[in-house]
Amino acid sequence: MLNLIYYDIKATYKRIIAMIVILVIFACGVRFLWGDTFMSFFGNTDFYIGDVIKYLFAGLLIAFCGISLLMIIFVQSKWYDANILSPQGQLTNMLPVSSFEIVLSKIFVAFLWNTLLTVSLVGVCSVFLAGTKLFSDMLQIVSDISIQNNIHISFSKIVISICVYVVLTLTDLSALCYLSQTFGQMFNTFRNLMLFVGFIMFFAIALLIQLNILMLLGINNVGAIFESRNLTDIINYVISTVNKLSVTTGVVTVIYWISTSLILKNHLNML
Amino acid sequence: MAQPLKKKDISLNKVVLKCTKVEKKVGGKKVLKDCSLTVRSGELVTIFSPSSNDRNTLAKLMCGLIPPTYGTISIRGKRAGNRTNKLVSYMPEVPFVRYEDTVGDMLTLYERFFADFKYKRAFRLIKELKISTKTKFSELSDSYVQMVEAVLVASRKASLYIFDDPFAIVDKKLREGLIRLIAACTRHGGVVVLSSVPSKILETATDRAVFMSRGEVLISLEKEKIERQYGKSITSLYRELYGNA
Repeated sequence: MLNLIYYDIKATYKRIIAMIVILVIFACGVRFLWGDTFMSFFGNTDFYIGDVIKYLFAGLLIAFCGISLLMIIFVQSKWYDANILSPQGQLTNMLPVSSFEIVLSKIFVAFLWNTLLTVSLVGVCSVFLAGTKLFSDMLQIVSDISIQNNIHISFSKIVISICVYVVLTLTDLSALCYLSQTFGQMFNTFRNLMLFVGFIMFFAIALLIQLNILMLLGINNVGAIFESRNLTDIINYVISTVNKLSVTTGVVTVIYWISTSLILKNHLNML
Repeated sequence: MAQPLKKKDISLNKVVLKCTKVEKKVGGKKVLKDCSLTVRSGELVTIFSPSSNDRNTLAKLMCGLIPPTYGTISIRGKRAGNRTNKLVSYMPEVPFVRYEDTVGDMLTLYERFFADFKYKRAFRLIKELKISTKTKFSELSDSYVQMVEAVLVASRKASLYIFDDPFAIVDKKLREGLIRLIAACTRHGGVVVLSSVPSKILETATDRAVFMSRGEVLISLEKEKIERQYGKSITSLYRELYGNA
C-alpha cells in the first residue's frame, strides 16, 4: 500500500506543486498591487488605471483559484485513467495488491493533494488580506458579536471546519470521477458517454444518501432555528451543519471507494 | 544469455495453468470458443494465431486480468484473478511502462512490488543490452522498450509466464536473445508464448504448439507428436494452416 501511495505521489507531484507555487506567487503579486507601494507609482491617486489593474488581477487570482480546484481533480483523474484503465493498467492490475488497495491509494493521494491545495488557498487569502482594513474589520465584527452575545466564537475553528469540509468535498469529487471512469470503461464503444451518465447517476444517488443521513442527524429544523433569531443557536447550527456535511461526505467517499474497487475487481475491461 | 536447462519429463510436473472450456463474449459476439489448455511447470507452450484479438483476449484471460464468460481458468489450483497476480509474470503486447520513467525506475518498481524479482539478474541483462538504468523509456526505440519489458518479466521467479506477441516489434537481431530469455523461464515455471510469427529458434524451445483460428483451438499437440502425425515441423504446419499471414 505504501508503495502504491509513493508511486501515485511521484506521478502527480510535479504538476500539482507547480500549480500551487504559481498560485502563491500570483497571490503575492496581487498583494503587491493592492499595497500602497504600487499606487505610489501613480502620482495622482485619483488616476483610475491603478484601480483597474488591481481589480483585474484580483479577479484573475480568484479565477485561478477556481481553475486550480478543477485542475487538481483533472490531473488526478487523468492519472487514474493512465495508470489503471490504459496500457499501463496491464501492469498495475497485475501487481500483487487488491483492487481495493489500488483505488484507496488513489483516493488517499487525492486527499493529500486536496489538503495541500486548500491550505494554499487559505494561505493565498491570508497573503491577500493580512494587514488590510477589510481583515481587521472582519475580526472586529466577530469579536463584537462574541462580546454582545456572551458567546465564544473561535474564528480559527470556523476556518478549520470549512477547510475540512472543502478537502473532503474535493476528495469526494475525485472519488466520484474514479467511479465514473471505472463505470464507463465497462462499455467499449460508449465509454465516454457512460462515464458522463455514470457521473450524473452516482452523484444523484450520493446526494439522496447524504440528505437521508443529514435528516437522521437532525438537520431538518433549519427554519425554526433562523426564526428564533437566537444568534448562539444559529452559529452553533451552522458550525454543526458544516461538521455533519463533512461526515456525510466522508461516508459517500467510502461508498465510492468500495463501488469502484468492486467494479475493477469483477468487470475490468482491458480489451 | 544462459542456455535453458535440459528438460525432464514434463508430464510428471505440476499443472500451473488449466483452462477448461473457456469462452469469452465481447459485445454479444464470441471471441473465444470452447478453449481448453493445460500448461505444466517447465513446459513452453507456443500459441499461434493470426488474429491479435484471439491472442490478446486469451492472454488476458490466462493471467486473470479479465474474467471468462464461461469456463474456468485456474493457476496452481486457484481461480485466475487478483489473488494469483503474485504467481503470474505477464508481458502484454503493448508497452506497459510510463515513458517518463527511467529503466532504473522500473527495476525499482519491480523490486518493491514483487518479492520474487531478481534485481541483480535483471540489472545484468539490461547492461548486456548496453542500456543505462538512467535512460528514459522515451529515449529508447520500441524494440528496446519491449526487450527491457521482457527482462523485467523474465527476471521474476513466477509459476506462470505469459508473453503476448513478444516478437512483433523486436528487431531480428535481438530476437534470438529474447527467445533464449523466454526459454530460460521454464526453469521456474510454465511459459506461454502467444505469437503471430513462427521461428525456427522458438520451435527448438517449444514443447507444445497450439494453433488457433477465429477463437477456436484447431490443433494442440506436443512438438514430437506434430512431427509424427503431420510429418512437418511447427513452422511448416503454421504456413500450411495460415498461409503467409
